[in-house]
Amino acid sequence: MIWLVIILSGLTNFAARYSMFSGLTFLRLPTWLEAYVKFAPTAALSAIVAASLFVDETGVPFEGSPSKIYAALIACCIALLTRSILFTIVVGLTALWALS
Amino acid sequence: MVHYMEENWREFWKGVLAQLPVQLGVIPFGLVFGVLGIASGLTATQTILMSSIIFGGASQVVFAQLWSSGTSPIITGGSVAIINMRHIIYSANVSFYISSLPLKWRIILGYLLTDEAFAVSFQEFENKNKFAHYHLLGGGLTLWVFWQISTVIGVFLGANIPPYLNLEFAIPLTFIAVILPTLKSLAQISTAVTASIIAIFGQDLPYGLWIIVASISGMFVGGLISQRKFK
Repeated sequence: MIWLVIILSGLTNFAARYSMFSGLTFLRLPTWLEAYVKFAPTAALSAIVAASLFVDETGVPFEGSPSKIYAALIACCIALLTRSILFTIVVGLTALWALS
Repeated sequence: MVHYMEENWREFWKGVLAQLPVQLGVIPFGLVFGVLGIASGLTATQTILMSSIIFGGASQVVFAQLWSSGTSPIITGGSVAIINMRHIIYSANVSFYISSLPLKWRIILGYLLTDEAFAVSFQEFENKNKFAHYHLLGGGLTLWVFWQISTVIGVFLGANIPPYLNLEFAIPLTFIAVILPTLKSLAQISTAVTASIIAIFGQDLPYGLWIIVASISGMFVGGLISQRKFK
């Protein structure tokens, strides 16, 4: 079962990347939909960040670990200042280790 | 090594070089995915091959997390598909150039079109570089090789990394680093806030549906606000 999901996920991912290379005109994304799809990465990734910071293991809101939230706040400053994934990870993890 | 290199292959190596600094971020991400895959209960083979079959960092991590928490296969696959929808936009952005290439080029570049590859090579397409597709090929292959190797290393280090190091925290940190600098417009900020609030309070939704409801709501709010602004 898991293999089926992995392979189907690979196929949908490839389909998304290949879609506009196909030369098939009916696959052109309608402009109105494009306006929404461009917010997909922001929407999905912020949802994951929020859940990992503010929800505990049992799914209760605002019962997450406070040291993770402080570490994330420090990481936010680093992300804005350096725009570097590497620095954000290094500083964020160090902060989490120092705080917990 | 030949003393003369044709222009197309020079462009290929330029793409490779342009991607090298990006690997500073890709390698820890790949390591974390390898570790996380094993920690989520996936086998070494499943974790390693997922990096080739799906080849999309964020969506692989989401896959592993949802799968390990017993989320239904349909929701897991659906979440991966939603997270990868953004690639349609990348695809659309370079299609004017790539659509006219032979089929094998389109398939290979389609497979290699990740966030980082798009980000680094897009300018070449904008500049109407005649060999932009070689640039994207060089950059994309570089990413692919580093992603596979770091996944494998992560898988085999997995058992040796103590859990108190909280390495999985690198994932939300990576997403913070990717998203935060892009939150420049009211529409982007509203998308992030909407998706976050629904993610926090939607945890009781069945089958881990919170991720899909949060994503679609965020996209909807962002799309509405951005369109109102342009009118």
